[in-house]
Amino acid sequence: MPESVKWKEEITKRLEGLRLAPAREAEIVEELVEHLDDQYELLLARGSTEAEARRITLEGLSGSELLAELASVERSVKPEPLGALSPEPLGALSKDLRYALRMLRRSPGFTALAVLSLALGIGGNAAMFSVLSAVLIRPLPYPDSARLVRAANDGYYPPGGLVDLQRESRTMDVAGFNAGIDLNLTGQGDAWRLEGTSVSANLFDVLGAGVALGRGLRPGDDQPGQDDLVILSHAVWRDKFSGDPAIIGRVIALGGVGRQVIGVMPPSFAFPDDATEFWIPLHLDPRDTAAHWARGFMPVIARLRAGTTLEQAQHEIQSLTHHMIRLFPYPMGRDWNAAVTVIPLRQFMVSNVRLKLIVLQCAIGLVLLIACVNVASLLLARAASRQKEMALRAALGASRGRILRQLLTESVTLALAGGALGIALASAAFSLLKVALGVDMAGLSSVRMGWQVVLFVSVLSVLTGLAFGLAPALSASRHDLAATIKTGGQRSAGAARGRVRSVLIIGEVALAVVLAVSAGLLIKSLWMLARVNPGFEAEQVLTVRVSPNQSLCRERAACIALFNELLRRTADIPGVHDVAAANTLPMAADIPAVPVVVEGHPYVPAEHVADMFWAGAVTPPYFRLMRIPILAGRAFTDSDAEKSAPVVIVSAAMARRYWPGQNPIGKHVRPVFAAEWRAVVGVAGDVRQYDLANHSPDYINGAIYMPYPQSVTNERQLPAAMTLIVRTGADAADLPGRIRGLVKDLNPDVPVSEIRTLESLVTDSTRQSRSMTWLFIVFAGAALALAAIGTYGVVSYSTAQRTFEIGVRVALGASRRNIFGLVLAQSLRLVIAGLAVGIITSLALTRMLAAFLYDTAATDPMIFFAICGVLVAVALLAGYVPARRAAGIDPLNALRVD
Amino acid sequence: MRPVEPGAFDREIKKGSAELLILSLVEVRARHGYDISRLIEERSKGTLCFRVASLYPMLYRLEKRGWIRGRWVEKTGQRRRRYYRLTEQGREVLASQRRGWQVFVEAINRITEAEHA
Repeated sequence: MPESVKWKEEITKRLEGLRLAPAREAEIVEELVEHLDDQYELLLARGSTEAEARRITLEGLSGSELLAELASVERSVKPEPLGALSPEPLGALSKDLRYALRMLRRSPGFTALAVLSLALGIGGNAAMFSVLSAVLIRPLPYPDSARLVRAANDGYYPPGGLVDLQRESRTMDVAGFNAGIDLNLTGQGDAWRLEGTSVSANLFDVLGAGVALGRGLRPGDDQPGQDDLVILSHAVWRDKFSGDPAIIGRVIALGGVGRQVIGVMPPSFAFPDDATEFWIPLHLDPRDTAAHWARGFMPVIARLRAGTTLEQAQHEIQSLTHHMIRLFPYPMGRDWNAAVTVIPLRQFMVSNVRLKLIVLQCAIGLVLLIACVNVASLLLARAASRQKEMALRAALGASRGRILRQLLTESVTLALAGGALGIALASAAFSLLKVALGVDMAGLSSVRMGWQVVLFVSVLSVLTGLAFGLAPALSASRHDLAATIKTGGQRSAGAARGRVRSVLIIGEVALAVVLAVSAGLLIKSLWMLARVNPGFEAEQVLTVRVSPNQSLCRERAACIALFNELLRRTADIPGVHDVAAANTLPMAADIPAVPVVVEGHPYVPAEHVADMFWAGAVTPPYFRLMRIPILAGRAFTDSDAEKSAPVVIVSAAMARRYWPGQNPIGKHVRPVFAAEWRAVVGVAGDVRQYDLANHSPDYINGAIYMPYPQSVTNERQLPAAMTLIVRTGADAADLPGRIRGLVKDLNPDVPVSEIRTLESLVTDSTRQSRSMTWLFIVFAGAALALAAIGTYGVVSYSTAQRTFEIGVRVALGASRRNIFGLVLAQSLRLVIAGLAVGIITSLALTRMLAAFLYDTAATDPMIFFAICGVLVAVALLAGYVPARRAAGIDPLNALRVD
Repeated sequence: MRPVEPGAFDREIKKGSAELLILSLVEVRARHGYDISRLIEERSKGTLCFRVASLYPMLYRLEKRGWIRGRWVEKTGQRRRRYYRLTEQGREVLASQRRGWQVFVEAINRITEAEHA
């Protein structure tokens, strides 16, 4: 029947907008088609023409009445099936989403608070993830880098030892390198100081690193006579040689020696760190016994050979090292390198930041957790106020699953918004983190926030959304319809939900306490550091590195004369109060260590390694200029010259340690490689040589100072590179330029570098502590704010719920003060419960911070008490407004509520 | 013959009485939608006329409320049709609506007749 087809078409078209379940739609269409058929037949039977009958029949469908009526009937009663069962899940999702956005827009305060809390948590975690992925997850930029290892637990070997390891090892291909080979580049405009590393010829092969230009080192390139070669970093090639490809094969003057450029590394190559500007071969000459076995102790790395395990390599290096002791041409202590082992190179490179990473990750994780708890608590409160809405929706036929999905959509939407804002925050947090972890951290400088972060944040957002949305959603969807509708959603909220919120808030406060205590401890530690007396006065002191080639000092007199003249001329510059020179500055990071034999302390070479000392080489005004007190004896004078009787000044700590209760003046020490004893003529006050917190490496046993003309390095040379130290008047802006000019006049091949104030050195040494403290202050501040908001939310909500009860109390004679106290006590109870949990947790957790604390116990009672005070203030603050409101309740109004 | 287009007053009356009409028609025996619409039109002599677009949504609504119940019935030689019958709940509603309607009509009558008397 052709008409039926037409009716069906017309009806189906009208039902399109309804999105009915297909079965239901077919049913309706069938029923209506039959009706229209019958009507049409009747009209024909009564004498209408076909066209007339058709027109009249279709009139019954005209207008939007059918759609509107069916929409209200079908939709209000029967919800679409859920999730996977839904024929159009995406349609339902977009509907949920639109609804969620509408609901969130309707309460902008709540939305802003929730999104901000989450952004803080998610942003921090995204930043942390970028760092973590770079440091702990992303492999080192070398092929098969998991097989790269490094000798650890000391693990420093002389050139002869390296050669022995290379020859004897069956489990590894061993390479050595010696960082901190700074050499002058001359003949290219102004003389320039470059930072370099000397490496064994196989180092690039062991790493698996290729050159960008030219060739790498080959076997034999580290043999004497063939080792005047250099490989440049990409940056030096670009900046100093204008990226000229013809550089390969050219001979350049480096450290006063001609070296042939054989290669240029790619820009990404940064071994051992990204400050390295060139690589030269190690000088391995077995005929020079002293150089081969007694100097240039260096770290070694290796690549595990195919089929060998880390454990095998660890056993092997132990036994090889033990047997190596016999090879030394002088009696080497039996305890030398006794605990040596090999560990994965990556593990070694992150060992110094590992703990910091863990601590920061924990802290940032806590912030996210607090944010989630806070949002969950906010959602719970909202769920309570939306109870009537939910009950109505349920009454209209929405299933529990349907409501759950709607609420979860809302919380995931919140989380995604938080995530988006979080990414913006993350890039800010990221730069702060980089500073906190130390910029020289392996691979960190090249870390970017990439797609992984976006992915991570998205996943985290959704998980967070589900996590904090679940409890409130469950709570909101489980309700007693009749009770809710009858009471208008006011008092049926139930004690259970109140308890859940209280527990959440107690947890939140506890977490905030942990962060606040951590921040407090770090602040105190920083405060203690700031009050440390470094042992010298850094104000108004300018320092300039002046570094002639070591070859200039082959004639000691030449170097001595150069610096004498430079000091004399510098002293003449107006505004200069005092000037001295030293081989190193306190807190400048390089450690001029020399093995020293101390009189009265028998040194048995075959038993022990000689004690290492911080060995300063200074000109006479050094102590006066630095305001380092001479506690006994005398300072150096100009008569302590090259040929006069050798003398030293020792640090007070060294004197106490080696000659307790004795007069150190007149005692003697000598470098282990020198025969002549040096007499102690003075005792200088202790100086924080390494950093303010005095984290000197374990192997440093004290400090000695030698007069510059008599001084000696571990390489048995006069130090060539010295730092000019100038105490100036107020105005010394042009001083660096004038000193540069003086040096250039004296010797144009001597570069001047590292111009800075002594104060900046001191400040820099606490930079990481400061940034870490700042991070914790931010975390703790955010946590406390969130906890306060959470507490306020719970207390003010429960006060609103108790309006009736409070009305009764007032009616029965409770005073305003009683009511005020009642509400405030509730806030205090919550916070104090959280405080108790938090303090106990802190006692357990802050031990992790101990490594970052200076002169501050991880359980410092002062900080714990202070935090208790802060939290009580938070409780009073959070409870004050609701308490005021409660005290103002008019019993007549309150009792009339229902 | 064309159904008369009811005026505004008729529409209001119809709306208020539509449920009552439908419930009454399925009180004694089950009927399908077209049957119901035809009976209303015939018995009112064309004064009352339900469009398809309003009749069926109303049937569905009554069904959802549980006042009537529809069932597909197949008779030999005919296509299957959906028949609606009154439920127990519907019976109570109908009784109450009838009383209300009678009260209303009597009241209207008293007022309008008094004016003519």
